Amino acid sequence: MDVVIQQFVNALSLGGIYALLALGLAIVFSIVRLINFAHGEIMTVGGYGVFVCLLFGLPIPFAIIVGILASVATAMLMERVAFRAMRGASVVSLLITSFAISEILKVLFQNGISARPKPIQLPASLSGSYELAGLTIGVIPTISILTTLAALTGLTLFLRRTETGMAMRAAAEDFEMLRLLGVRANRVVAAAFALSGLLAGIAAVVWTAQRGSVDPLMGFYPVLKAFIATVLGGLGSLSGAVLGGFLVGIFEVFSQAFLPASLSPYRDAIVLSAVIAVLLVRPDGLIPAAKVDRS
Amino acid sequence: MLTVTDLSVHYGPVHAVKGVDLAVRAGSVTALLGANGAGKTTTLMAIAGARKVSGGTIEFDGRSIVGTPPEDIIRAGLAVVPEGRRVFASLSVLENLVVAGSLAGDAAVSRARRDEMMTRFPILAERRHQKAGLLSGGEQQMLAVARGLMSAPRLLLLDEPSLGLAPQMVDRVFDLIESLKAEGLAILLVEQNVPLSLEIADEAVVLANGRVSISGDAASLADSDLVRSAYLAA
Repeated sequence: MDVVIQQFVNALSLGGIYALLALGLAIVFSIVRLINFAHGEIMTVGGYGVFVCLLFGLPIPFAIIVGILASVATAMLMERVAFRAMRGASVVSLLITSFAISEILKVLFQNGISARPKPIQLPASLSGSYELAGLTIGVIPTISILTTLAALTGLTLFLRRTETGMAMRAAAEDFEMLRLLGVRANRVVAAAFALSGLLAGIAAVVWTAQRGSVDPLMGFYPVLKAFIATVLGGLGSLSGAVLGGFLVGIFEVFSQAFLPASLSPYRDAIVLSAVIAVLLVRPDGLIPAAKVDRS
Repeated sequence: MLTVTDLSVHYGPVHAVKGVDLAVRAGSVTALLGANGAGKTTTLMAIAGARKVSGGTIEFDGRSIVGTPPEDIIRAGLAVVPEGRRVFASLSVLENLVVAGSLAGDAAVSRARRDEMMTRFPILAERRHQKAGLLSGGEQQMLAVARGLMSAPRLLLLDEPSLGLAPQMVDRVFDLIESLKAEGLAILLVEQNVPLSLEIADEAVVLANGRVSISGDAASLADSDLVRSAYLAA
């Protein structure tokens, strides 16, 4: 039983990262209908931001802030440089644009920094663990779960309470109508990208702390899982993205922990089969996005 | 105040609006009438900047607004209450108004306008925290108008405000249009309810297949044989 609970903590901490990434994808998709394949590289930039700061011996809180801001800036720059020119283009053109950005950035990281993982030195206090009700729980998983919860709460408050948050929800429903009310489209889209970058930056910091290294593909694999999470939860649905993220995390950790060794090479296949099974029953995902499509 | 000359709009290969002329003078109501698919909504959306114009000119306050993004046209003093109301269903009544008020760029102004709308439409004040999607059709129409008025416009484009409403509600909508006109707001009214529209309008333009079939002042149009036989069932 203890093992199950401990694995559950791990599952929540991993699922939380997937949830943050999936949310970023969902926020952008819900407004501009872009499936941003370069979202992983936004996260990678955040990881390198942390790495560079620590390399120069800067304090950890500073490194965290720089990492997160680097992700925000990358996301906003991508929108400004590449996606704004493609506004209103077909979903396929947008998808290919994002593939291109993703490839360009990956090559830049590989040739400009290093193709190999760069270790990050974290203070020993972070790698420790503590006892709670007879269970041994890691410090880092705890921090990641708390960070995820704080980010989700903050995001909910932002979307419910602020004018920009409300405009983003309105944009997800009917973008043209929002413009017909005189709300500046570019600002809402920029805010959506900034928000997705912020969530990816937070994910990058937590992920880097868990892995203790950064590499050019550090964002690619978790974002792949986050894509699965958004589809599982319902493309464009924010609550669906969170649910999907946690479910994928739970699937992954539990299959790793409890599948017999002979089956472990098939782990991803098993997880993806489960996703297909869910989509067969609920083709629009677990919590479908409420969206009126207008042509 | 608004002058549209020789307007053409294409939808892909379809020539939806072919050389339409119309005008709305300050403080007056122009009715844009015609059958379904005649090009009324397309004309209105083109004026608002939401459809690409393929020919002709649109002048608002003497300045060309062809090719201007919709948000800038709205900021110049024009508001749109679109066909089908298009309220943000998952947002509350209040949130719909907050979003629309954000163009004021000043929280106090936005709040004052919101309060004004709540006074003007008591039903919206009553339902302020309800999701807009749960309102009745008539209430949604009130919200759509209130949302349009949040920008303090000088010209209102109203597309089929009475569509799908109960007869009682239709009367209320036309009462509202009348009082807005009395307050000095210029209105371009797209409607299928021809008798009521001609009663309220100063001028009218009738479209058929994307062209103007007849236009002139509303009273004489109401007396014309063509309009009487086609729309007024006289």
